[in-house]
Amino acid sequence: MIRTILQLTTFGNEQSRWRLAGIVLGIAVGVGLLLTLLGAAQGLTDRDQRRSWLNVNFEYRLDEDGEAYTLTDDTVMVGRFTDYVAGDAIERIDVAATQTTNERTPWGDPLPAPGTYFASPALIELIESLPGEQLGDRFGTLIGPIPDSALGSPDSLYVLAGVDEATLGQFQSWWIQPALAGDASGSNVVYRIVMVIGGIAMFLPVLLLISTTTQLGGAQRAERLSTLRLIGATPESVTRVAAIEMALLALTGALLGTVGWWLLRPVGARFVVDEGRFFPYDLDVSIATIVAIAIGAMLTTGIAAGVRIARMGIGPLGVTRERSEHAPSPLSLLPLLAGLALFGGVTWAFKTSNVDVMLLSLAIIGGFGLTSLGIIWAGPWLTNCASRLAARFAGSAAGVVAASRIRRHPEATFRSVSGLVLAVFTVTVFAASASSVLEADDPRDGAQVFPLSTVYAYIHEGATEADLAGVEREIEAVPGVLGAVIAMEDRNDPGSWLVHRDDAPLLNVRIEDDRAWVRFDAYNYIWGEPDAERPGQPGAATLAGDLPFVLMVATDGSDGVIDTVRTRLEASNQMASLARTRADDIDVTTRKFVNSLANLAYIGIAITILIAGISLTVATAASMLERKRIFGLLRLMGMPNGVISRIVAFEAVAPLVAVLAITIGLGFLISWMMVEGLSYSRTLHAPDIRYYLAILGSLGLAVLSVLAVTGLVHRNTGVNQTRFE
Amino acid sequence: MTALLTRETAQSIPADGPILSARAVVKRFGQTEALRGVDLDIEPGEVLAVMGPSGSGKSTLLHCLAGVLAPDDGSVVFDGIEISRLNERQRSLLRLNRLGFVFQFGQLLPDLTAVDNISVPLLLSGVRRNEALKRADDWLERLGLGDAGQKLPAELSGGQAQRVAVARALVTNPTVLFADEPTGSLDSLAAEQVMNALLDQVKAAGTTVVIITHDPRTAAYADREVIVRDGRIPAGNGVRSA
Repeated sequence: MIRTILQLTTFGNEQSRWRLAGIVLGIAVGVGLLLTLLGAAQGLTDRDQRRSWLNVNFEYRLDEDGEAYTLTDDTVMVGRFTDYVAGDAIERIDVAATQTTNERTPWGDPLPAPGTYFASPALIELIESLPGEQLGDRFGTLIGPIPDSALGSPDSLYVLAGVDEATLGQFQSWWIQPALAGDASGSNVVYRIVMVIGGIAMFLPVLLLISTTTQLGGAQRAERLSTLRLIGATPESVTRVAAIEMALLALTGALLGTVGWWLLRPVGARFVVDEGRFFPYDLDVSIATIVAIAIGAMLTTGIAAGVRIARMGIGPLGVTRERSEHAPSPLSLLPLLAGLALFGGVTWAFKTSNVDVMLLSLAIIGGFGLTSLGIIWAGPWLTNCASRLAARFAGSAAGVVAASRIRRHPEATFRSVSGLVLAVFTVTVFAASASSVLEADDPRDGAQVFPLSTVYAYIHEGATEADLAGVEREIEAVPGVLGAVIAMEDRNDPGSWLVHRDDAPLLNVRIEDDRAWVRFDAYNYIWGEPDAERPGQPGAATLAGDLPFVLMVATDGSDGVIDTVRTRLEASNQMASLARTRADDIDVTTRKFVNSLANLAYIGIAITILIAGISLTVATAASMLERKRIFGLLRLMGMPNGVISRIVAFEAVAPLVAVLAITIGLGFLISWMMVEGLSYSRTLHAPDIRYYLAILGSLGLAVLSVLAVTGLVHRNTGVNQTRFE
Repeated sequence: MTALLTRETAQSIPADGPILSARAVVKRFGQTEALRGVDLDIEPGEVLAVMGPSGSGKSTLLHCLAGVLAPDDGSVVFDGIEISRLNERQRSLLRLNRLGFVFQFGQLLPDLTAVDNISVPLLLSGVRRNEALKRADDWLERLGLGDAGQKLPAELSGGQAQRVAVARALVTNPTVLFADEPTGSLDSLAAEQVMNALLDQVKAAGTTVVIITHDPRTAAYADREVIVRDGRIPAGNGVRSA
């Protein structure tokens, strides 16, 4: 009997087949997405593990007895640095060992001798593409590539350079440890959290898509099931049919999704996360996980479908009269208000007292979740209010019909656009928050600000005046270099930079009075007031007791010149640090991280918007097809095709208009509370172009959905097809 | 021609000659010939019952008369206009302004109240909403549904819903009203109420009515009956001899 019922109800007509295709596609997308996210999460863990050797650990400085290690055949001396070329960061490990060392590289090769180096394939490619004086000469002679097993990504720029103990000893930071190894840092934790939140945000539209396609042709299907009940099918067998049907569809969808995921894995691996793309095998998921997901999809969707049919209570006489939904209550605004109150409370608490960081993070995530849920919850009420207003003022047949429809079915109407609404909310919060970093930290030159084109490096304590003069001469000979300046360390304030007024113009500093020295605020990269404590001594190079501290090289700002200066400074053996620019430091801190995160987030948001757009199309089409008979009769009575198209358009656009503006406003409000309330100096800026593209994309998809469905209107409501009943 | 398509009242109907006339109408669906040369004249103000067994072609005839289907051969002339020569938009305009329709069931928009359902054709014709609602209320009163204006179709009985459908069909003062099995889904008491309400109104307005039915009791309300068998109307039945 079940087989007969399945044949009759599942493959009945064209709409049934569309419904099947929609469900299978929705589940396939969901499963594919889940596998991709699980693969990416696993891939990030593997990446952390592979590059753990870079994480030289401070604790290794001391042995079990608390004594500092010394360099022996069983220890290595290590310095970890971030080097730069053309704005790209290079993870650099300098290693010194005894000549008879027992230590090896993490991949088993002997350690590089002084003047030789291993480099990642991407870095080797970069070195080969540039003149040696810009990059290659910094490291010495290449002896081989670093294998994939020691790389985070195929794009990783790593170098393991051999140096001698004395040279490394000149640097500010180095230590001796028992092996060239480290712990997996878990530095990808932020990415993981973002992926989990993003995954949830992406799954909602997928679930909505499945839910919407399930209801496609629902009225006709209910009629058929009701007829079967009339001829003797029990409620249990009808429920079982629905569950089996959905489980089989879920299995098909899961298989398709798995195949799609497998085929698209190389594409997924191309997305840049953190330091670069994934290796294709990074995204692998175990067979056991795939089977578990398929079984999970079958069980959850099957049970849900069975429960839904059981709750519909399809009797032998069917459901002949359409039931309106209960009018949503203003109480549905409570979760939204609670979410906003939570954000407000967190901001207030942060401003007035010390709040535990973990508690703060949980409160922010909770507030975001509650607000998102609140928007979904409040959406039908807002839609209902808008439809009441529209119904009161509507003057056209399309307006009256559509507003009345929305008023009777606010939940169903809002559900069709809720995916888009949520996507827009998420992208607004993200884009507005990211603007505070991307815009604020965009490095720019300005008055009294350390020039972006100036390269600097700390001077080794043992460097003599003659050594430094030699370095200055060599650097100043590089075409494009405007001059070299030595900043002194204040004898009364160690770590403080002082620059003489004669050198000031080269560094974009203006000294109004006659004082000889100006102090540099190294934290904010700005020149402070002329040093009042020091007497004016124009012409004096140094004061007694001051030591040369930093060598600054003004350049024309081109990448080639800056990188050549870096190479010369690093090869001079007179520096205590690698050479840097102000832009390097900004990149290292937050800008690059946020930009990379933004790229990832916008990809996720684009997928979410696409799925939500498909969902809206299906929902709009389903809503029209459900009423094609009544629309057909109206057309027969003389209602023009365009009026029906306008009804369909109004029903799709009205809830978007009603909620979207509020949603965008809420997104900015929450970003403002997070950024201005929970940071000391950041402020909101206009989001970048990607945000506007995302919003335009959402609206464009909504328009396309409506246009696609209005195309269906003519075909499905033709008087020839409907005819008299 | 547009003026003819949009004329709102039945008072302008010519005093002599049929308002609707079919000549040698043939309609085929694939190999099947549903109408095989039908001749039919319908006089202004006449109530005509078209009867016949299932599959005889009576619904197809109605579709052709109302401009829903274009005949393969022959012609249909309404008030001097050859309907088959009109394009889709013009036929929509004709149906909206000059013709009215009542069906067997499920014809009301489920989300609209009774009064809104009745006002829809007026809104489509460009009447302002307040005026449309006023006229719709008036029709509800005329059909004894004064209390049902704010009810949804699901809250009305079958007979009440059908009377709302009649009001919606008549609210634009159509020249011809087509009723396809208007009492097919009603019990005899409700059917009588609907037919009485319908005929009271059309007689007063001089509206022509074409009723498709296979129920002799419904057909008994008509001034004239024609029988359709195998796609034909017997000679002399459809066209009055001069």
